[in-house]
Amino acid sequence: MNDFLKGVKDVSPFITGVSPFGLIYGVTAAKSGLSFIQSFTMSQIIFAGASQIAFIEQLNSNSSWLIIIATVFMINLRMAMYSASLAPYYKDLSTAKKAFMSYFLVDQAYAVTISKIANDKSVNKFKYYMGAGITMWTVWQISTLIGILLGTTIPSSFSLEFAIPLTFMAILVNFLKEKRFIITAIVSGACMILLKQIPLNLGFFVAVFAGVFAGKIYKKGIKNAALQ
Amino acid sequence: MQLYNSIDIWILIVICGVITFLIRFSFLKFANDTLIENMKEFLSYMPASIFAAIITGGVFNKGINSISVDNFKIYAMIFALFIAYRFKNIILTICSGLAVLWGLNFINRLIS
Repeated sequence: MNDFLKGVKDVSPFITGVSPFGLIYGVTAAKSGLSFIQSFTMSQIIFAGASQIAFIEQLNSNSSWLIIIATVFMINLRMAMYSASLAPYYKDLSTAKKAFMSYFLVDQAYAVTISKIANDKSVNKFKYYMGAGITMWTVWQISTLIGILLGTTIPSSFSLEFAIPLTFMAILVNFLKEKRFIITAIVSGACMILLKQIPLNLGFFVAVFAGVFAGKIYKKGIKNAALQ
Repeated sequence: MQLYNSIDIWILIVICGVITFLIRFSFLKFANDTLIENMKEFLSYMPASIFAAIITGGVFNKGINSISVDNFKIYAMIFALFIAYRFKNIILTICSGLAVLWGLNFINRLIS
Protein backbone atom coordinates (compact mmCIF):
# COMPACT_ATOMS: atom_id res chain seq x y z
CA MET A 1 0.00 0.00 0.00
CA ASN A 2 1.08 3.57 -0.71
CA ASP A 3 2.61 5.09 2.46
CA PHE A 4 0.30 8.13 2.27
CA LEU A 5 -2.72 5.80 2.35
CA LYS A 6 -1.16 3.85 5.23
CA GLY A 7 -1.13 7.10 7.21
CA VAL A 8 -4.76 7.73 6.26
CA LYS A 9 -5.74 4.22 7.32
CA ASP A 10 -3.84 4.24 10.63
CA VAL A 11 -5.21 7.61 11.75
CA SER A 12 -8.81 6.93 10.66
CA PRO A 13 -9.92 5.28 13.95
CA PHE A 14 -9.35 8.72 15.52
CA ILE A 15 -12.18 10.18 13.44
CA THR A 16 -14.68 8.90 16.03
CA GLY A 17 -12.77 10.67 18.80
CA VAL A 18 -12.18 13.95 16.98
CA SER A 19 -15.47 14.65 15.16
CA PRO A 20 -17.50 15.17 18.37
CA PHE A 21 -14.82 17.64 19.45
CA GLY A 22 -15.13 19.47 16.12
CA LEU A 23 -18.91 19.56 16.53
CA ILE A 24 -18.51 20.98 20.04
CA TYR A 25 -16.14 23.69 18.77
CA GLY A 26 -18.50 24.59 15.92
CA VAL A 27 -21.56 24.81 18.15
CA THR A 28 -19.81 26.90 20.83
CA ALA A 29 -18.26 29.22 18.23
CA ALA A 30 -21.59 29.81 16.50
CA LYS A 31 -23.27 30.53 19.82
CA SER A 32 -20.53 32.92 20.98
CA GLY A 33 -21.52 35.52 18.41
CA LEU A 34 -18.58 35.03 16.06
CA SER A 35 -19.61 35.33 12.42
CA PHE A 36 -19.88 32.15 10.38
CA ILE A 37 -16.75 33.00 8.43
CA GLN A 38 -14.74 33.78 11.60
CA SER A 39 -15.81 30.54 13.27
CA PHE A 40 -14.91 28.46 10.23
CA THR A 41 -11.72 30.29 9.24
CA MET A 42 -10.35 29.79 12.77
CA SER A 43 -10.32 26.06 12.00
CA GLN A 44 -7.93 26.66 9.10
CA ILE A 45 -5.79 29.39 10.70
CA ILE A 46 -5.27 27.82 14.14
CA PHE A 47 -6.28 24.19 13.42
CA ALA A 48 -5.92 23.03 17.03
CA GLY A 49 -9.13 21.85 18.69
CA ALA A 50 -8.71 22.32 22.42
CA SER A 51 -7.18 25.78 21.98
CA GLN A 52 -9.98 26.87 19.62
CA ILE A 53 -12.62 25.88 22.19
CA ALA A 54 -10.67 27.70 24.91
CA PHE A 55 -10.43 30.78 22.66
CA ILE A 56 -14.24 30.86 22.46
CA GLU A 57 -14.61 30.39 26.22
CA GLN A 58 -12.25 33.30 26.90
CA LEU A 59 -14.12 35.50 24.43
CA ASN A 60 -17.41 34.65 26.14
CA SER A 61 -16.02 35.67 29.53
CA ASN A 62 -14.68 38.96 28.12
CA SER A 63 -11.09 38.05 28.90
CA SER A 64 -8.23 40.38 28.05
CA TRP A 65 -6.62 39.82 24.64
CA LEU A 66 -3.45 38.87 26.48
CA ILE A 67 -5.27 36.08 28.32
CA ILE A 68 -6.78 34.79 25.07
CA ILE A 69 -3.39 34.60 23.35
CA ALA A 70 -1.68 33.14 26.43
CA THR A 71 -4.37 30.46 26.70
CA VAL A 72 -3.90 29.35 23.10
CA PHE A 73 -0.11 29.38 23.56
CA MET A 74 -0.23 27.31 26.78
CA ILE A 75 -2.63 24.74 25.40
CA ASN A 76 -0.64 24.32 22.20
CA LEU A 77 2.81 24.30 23.78
CA ARG A 78 2.61 20.51 23.98
CA MET A 79 3.06 20.57 20.20
CA ALA A 80 6.64 21.76 20.74
CA MET A 81 7.17 18.40 22.42
CA TYR A 82 5.69 16.64 19.40
CA SER A 83 7.84 18.76 17.13
CA ALA A 84 10.99 17.89 19.11
CA SER A 85 10.00 14.24 19.25
CA LEU A 86 9.59 14.02 15.46
CA ALA A 87 12.65 16.16 14.64
CA PRO A 88 15.30 13.37 14.62
CA TYR A 89 13.31 11.43 12.02
CA TYR A 90 12.77 14.40 9.71
CA LYS A 91 16.06 16.28 10.04
CA ASP A 92 17.00 15.74 6.37
CA LEU A 93 13.87 17.39 4.94
CA SER A 94 13.97 20.85 3.32
CA THR A 95 12.78 23.84 5.34
CA ALA A 96 9.77 24.24 3.05
CA LYS A 97 8.68 20.65 3.68
CA LYS A 98 9.24 21.05 7.42
CA ALA A 99 7.12 24.22 7.42
CA PHE A 100 4.41 22.48 5.41
CA MET A 101 4.26 19.43 7.68
CA SER A 102 4.34 21.65 10.80
CA TYR A 103 0.96 23.07 9.93
CA PHE A 104 -0.60 19.59 10.19
CA LEU A 105 1.00 18.67 13.54
CA VAL A 106 -1.88 17.58 15.79
CA ASP A 107 -2.11 15.02 18.62
CA GLN A 108 -3.48 12.21 16.47
CA ALA A 109 -1.14 12.62 13.50
CA TYR A 110 1.78 12.74 15.93
CA ALA A 111 0.57 9.70 17.85
CA VAL A 112 0.22 7.35 14.88
CA THR A 113 3.37 8.67 13.17
CA ILE A 114 5.68 8.29 16.16
CA SER A 115 4.47 4.74 16.83
CA LYS A 116 4.92 3.88 13.14
CA ILE A 117 8.30 5.42 12.35
CA ALA A 118 9.89 4.26 15.61
CA ASN A 119 9.11 0.64 14.71
CA ASP A 120 9.12 0.55 10.90
CA LYS A 121 12.21 1.89 9.14
CA SER A 122 10.95 1.08 5.62
CA VAL A 123 8.02 3.51 5.57
CA ASN A 124 8.23 6.87 3.75
CA LYS A 125 8.05 9.06 6.85
CA PHE A 126 6.89 12.24 5.08
CA LYS A 127 4.14 10.58 3.04
CA TYR A 128 2.93 8.56 6.01
CA TYR A 129 2.76 11.64 8.25
CA MET A 130 1.02 13.70 5.56
CA GLY A 131 -1.58 10.96 5.09
CA ALA A 132 -2.38 11.14 8.79
CA GLY A 133 -2.18 14.95 8.97
CA ILE A 134 -4.34 15.73 5.94
CA THR A 135 -6.94 13.19 7.10
CA MET A 136 -7.20 14.87 10.51
CA TRP A 137 -7.34 18.30 8.83
CA THR A 138 -10.23 17.23 6.60
CA VAL A 139 -12.12 15.64 9.48
CA TRP A 140 -11.63 18.77 11.57
CA GLN A 141 -12.91 21.08 8.82
CA ILE A 142 -15.99 18.97 8.09
CA SER A 143 -16.94 18.39 11.73
CA THR A 144 -16.48 22.04 12.75
CA LEU A 145 -18.50 23.12 9.71
CA ILE A 146 -21.35 20.80 10.69
CA GLY A 147 -21.14 22.06 14.28
CA ILE A 148 -21.32 25.70 13.19
CA LEU A 149 -24.28 24.98 10.91
CA LEU A 150 -26.09 23.07 13.65
CA GLY A 151 -25.44 25.93 16.05
CA THR A 152 -27.43 24.13 18.68
CA THR A 153 -26.34 22.41 21.87
CA ILE A 154 -25.24 18.81 21.66
CA PRO A 155 -26.99 17.25 24.69
CA SER A 156 -24.32 17.05 27.39
CA SER A 157 -25.85 13.76 28.62
CA PHE A 158 -24.24 12.13 25.56
CA SER A 159 -20.78 12.84 27.03
CA LEU A 160 -19.29 12.57 23.54
CA GLU A 161 -16.23 14.57 24.64
CA PHE A 162 -15.28 11.43 26.59
CA ALA A 163 -14.37 9.78 23.26
CA ILE A 164 -11.17 11.86 23.25
CA PRO A 165 -9.49 10.47 26.41
CA LEU A 166 -10.72 7.02 25.35
CA THR A 167 -8.93 7.46 22.04
CA PHE A 168 -5.72 8.34 23.83
CA MET A 169 -6.08 5.33 26.10
CA ALA A 170 -6.12 3.09 23.05
CA ILE A 171 -2.86 4.63 21.85
CA LEU A 172 -1.22 4.83 25.30
CA VAL A 173 -1.21 1.06 25.82
CA ASN A 174 1.22 0.75 22.90
CA PHE A 175 3.78 2.66 24.97
CA LEU A 176 3.39 0.61 28.14
CA LYS A 177 5.66 -2.25 27.08
CA GLU A 178 8.49 -1.09 29.38
CA LYS A 179 8.18 -0.60 33.12
CA ARG A 180 9.80 2.86 33.00
CA PHE A 181 7.02 4.09 30.71
CA ILE A 182 4.38 2.62 33.04
CA ILE A 183 5.97 4.61 35.90
CA THR A 184 5.96 7.70 33.66
CA ALA A 185 2.26 7.29 32.82
CA ILE A 186 1.21 6.71 36.45
CA VAL A 187 3.14 9.73 37.78
CA SER A 188 2.00 12.00 34.94
CA GLY A 189 -1.62 10.88 35.35
CA ALA A 190 -1.58 11.32 39.13
CA CYS A 191 -0.04 14.81 38.86
CA MET A 192 -2.62 15.79 36.27
CA ILE A 193 -5.44 14.89 38.68
CA LEU A 194 -3.81 16.97 41.43
CA LEU A 195 -3.07 19.95 39.18
CA LYS A 196 -6.09 19.85 36.87
CA GLN A 197 -7.67 22.98 38.30
CA ILE A 198 -4.66 25.23 37.80
CA PRO A 199 -5.74 27.87 35.24
CA LEU A 200 -4.61 27.87 31.60
CA ASN A 201 -4.03 24.12 31.74
CA LEU A 202 -0.57 24.85 33.20
CA GLY A 203 -0.84 21.71 35.33
CA PHE A 204 -0.58 19.73 32.08
CA PHE A 205 3.06 20.77 31.59
CA VAL A 206 3.98 20.09 35.21
CA ALA A 207 2.35 16.64 34.98
CA VAL A 208 4.12 15.80 31.71
CA PHE A 209 7.54 16.80 33.04
CA ALA A 210 6.95 15.05 36.38
CA GLY A 211 6.13 11.87 34.44
CA VAL A 212 9.24 12.17 32.28
CA PHE A 213 11.53 12.70 35.28
CA ALA A 214 9.91 9.87 37.24
CA GLY A 215 10.68 7.51 34.34
CA LYS A 216 14.27 8.77 34.12
CA ILE A 217 14.81 8.42 37.87
CA TYR A 218 13.40 4.90 37.78
CA LYS A 219 15.76 3.92 34.97
CA LYS A 220 18.72 5.48 36.78
CA GLY A 221 17.80 3.50 39.92
CA ILE A 222 17.80 0.26 37.90
CA LYS A 223 21.22 1.09 36.44
CA ASN A 224 22.71 1.86 39.86
CA ALA A 225 21.28 -1.31 41.35
CA ALA A 226 22.87 -3.33 38.54
CA LEU A 227 26.28 -1.74 39.20
CA GLN A 228 26.30 -2.58 42.91
CA MET B 1 -18.48 39.95 22.99
CA GLN B 2 -18.95 43.66 23.65
CA LEU B 3 -15.23 43.92 24.36
CA TYR B 4 -14.07 43.20 20.80
CA ASN B 5 -15.23 44.28 17.38
CA SER B 6 -14.95 42.13 14.28
CA ILE B 7 -11.49 43.44 13.34
CA ASP B 8 -10.16 42.72 16.86
CA ILE B 9 -11.40 39.14 16.58
CA TRP B 10 -9.67 38.68 13.21
CA ILE B 11 -6.40 40.02 14.65
CA LEU B 12 -6.66 37.66 17.63
CA ILE B 13 -7.35 34.66 15.40
CA VAL B 14 -4.35 35.46 13.19
CA ILE B 15 -1.98 36.03 16.15
CA CYS B 16 -3.07 32.72 17.69
CA GLY B 17 -2.62 30.99 14.33
CA VAL B 18 0.91 32.34 13.89
CA ILE B 19 1.89 31.39 17.46
CA THR B 20 0.50 27.88 17.01
CA PHE B 21 2.40 27.45 13.74
CA LEU B 22 5.66 28.65 15.32
CA ILE B 23 5.26 26.17 18.20
CA ARG B 24 4.77 23.35 15.69
CA PHE B 25 7.66 24.46 13.51
CA SER B 26 10.09 25.26 16.38
CA PHE B 27 11.96 22.04 16.98
CA LEU B 28 11.43 20.52 13.55
CA LYS B 29 13.37 23.45 12.14
CA PHE B 30 15.85 24.49 14.81
CA ALA B 31 16.87 21.31 16.58
CA ASN B 32 20.42 20.23 15.67
CA ASP B 33 21.97 16.77 15.94
CA THR B 34 23.74 17.37 19.27
CA LEU B 35 20.62 18.82 20.83
CA ILE B 36 18.53 15.95 19.53
CA GLU B 37 21.06 13.34 20.74
CA ASN B 38 20.99 14.89 24.22
CA MET B 39 17.20 14.99 24.25
CA LYS B 40 16.57 11.52 22.84
CA GLU B 41 16.19 9.62 26.10
CA PHE B 42 14.24 12.50 27.59
CA LEU B 43 11.91 12.53 24.58
CA SER B 44 11.29 8.78 24.71
CA TYR B 45 9.22 9.35 27.84
CA MET B 46 7.12 12.08 26.24
CA PRO B 47 4.36 10.06 24.53
CA ALA B 48 3.48 7.98 27.61
CA SER B 49 3.54 11.09 29.77
CA ILE B 50 1.48 13.31 27.46
CA PHE B 51 -1.18 10.70 26.71
CA ALA B 52 -1.55 9.77 30.39
CA ALA B 53 -2.05 13.45 31.30
CA ILE B 54 -4.66 13.95 28.55
CA ILE B 55 -6.52 10.80 29.68
CA THR B 56 -6.66 11.65 33.38
CA GLY B 57 -7.50 15.27 32.53
CA GLY B 58 -10.53 13.99 30.63
CA VAL B 59 -11.62 11.54 33.34
CA PHE B 60 -11.04 13.88 36.28
CA ASN B 61 -12.47 17.12 34.82
CA LYS B 62 -12.46 18.81 38.23
CA GLY B 63 -9.15 17.36 39.41
CA ILE B 64 -9.18 15.84 42.90
CA ASN B 65 -12.84 16.86 43.27
CA SER B 66 -13.63 14.31 40.56
CA ILE B 67 -12.33 11.42 42.70
CA SER B 68 -15.73 10.04 43.62
CA VAL B 69 -17.71 6.80 43.35
CA ASP B 70 -20.25 8.85 41.35
CA ASN B 71 -17.71 9.63 38.61
CA PHE B 72 -18.69 6.92 36.13
CA LYS B 73 -15.90 7.98 33.77
CA ILE B 74 -13.45 6.27 36.14
CA TYR B 75 -15.13 2.85 35.71
CA ALA B 76 -15.55 3.43 31.97
CA MET B 77 -11.85 4.28 31.58
CA ILE B 78 -10.68 1.31 33.66
CA PHE B 79 -12.81 -0.96 31.46
CA ALA B 80 -11.44 0.76 28.35
CA LEU B 81 -7.88 0.25 29.62
CA PHE B 82 -8.56 -3.48 29.90
CA ILE B 83 -10.11 -3.61 26.41
CA ALA B 84 -7.30 -1.52 24.89
CA TYR B 85 -4.66 -3.73 26.49
CA ARG B 86 -6.38 -6.98 25.55
CA PHE B 87 -7.52 -6.18 21.98
CA LYS B 88 -5.28 -3.28 20.83
CA ASN B 89 -8.20 -1.87 18.87
CA ILE B 90 -8.97 1.86 18.95
CA ILE B 91 -12.63 1.78 17.86
CA LEU B 92 -13.43 -1.13 20.19
CA THR B 93 -11.77 0.79 23.04
CA ILE B 94 -13.79 3.97 22.38
CA CYS B 95 -17.09 2.11 21.97
CA SER B 96 -16.59 -0.02 25.10
CA GLY B 97 -15.72 3.04 27.20
CA LEU B 98 -18.71 5.02 25.95
CA ALA B 99 -20.99 1.99 26.39
CA VAL B 100 -19.97 1.60 30.05
CA LEU B 101 -20.46 5.33 30.66
CA TRP B 102 -23.89 5.42 28.99
CA GLY B 103 -24.93 2.18 30.70
CA LEU B 104 -24.00 3.45 34.17
CA ASN B 105 -25.69 6.82 33.52
CA PHE B 106 -28.82 4.99 32.39
CA ILE B 107 -28.92 2.69 35.45
CA ASN B 108 -28.24 5.68 37.68
CA ARG B 109 -31.22 7.54 36.24
CA LEU B 110 -33.46 4.48 36.70
CA ILE B 111 -32.67 4.04 40.38
CA SER B 112 -32.55 7.68 41.43
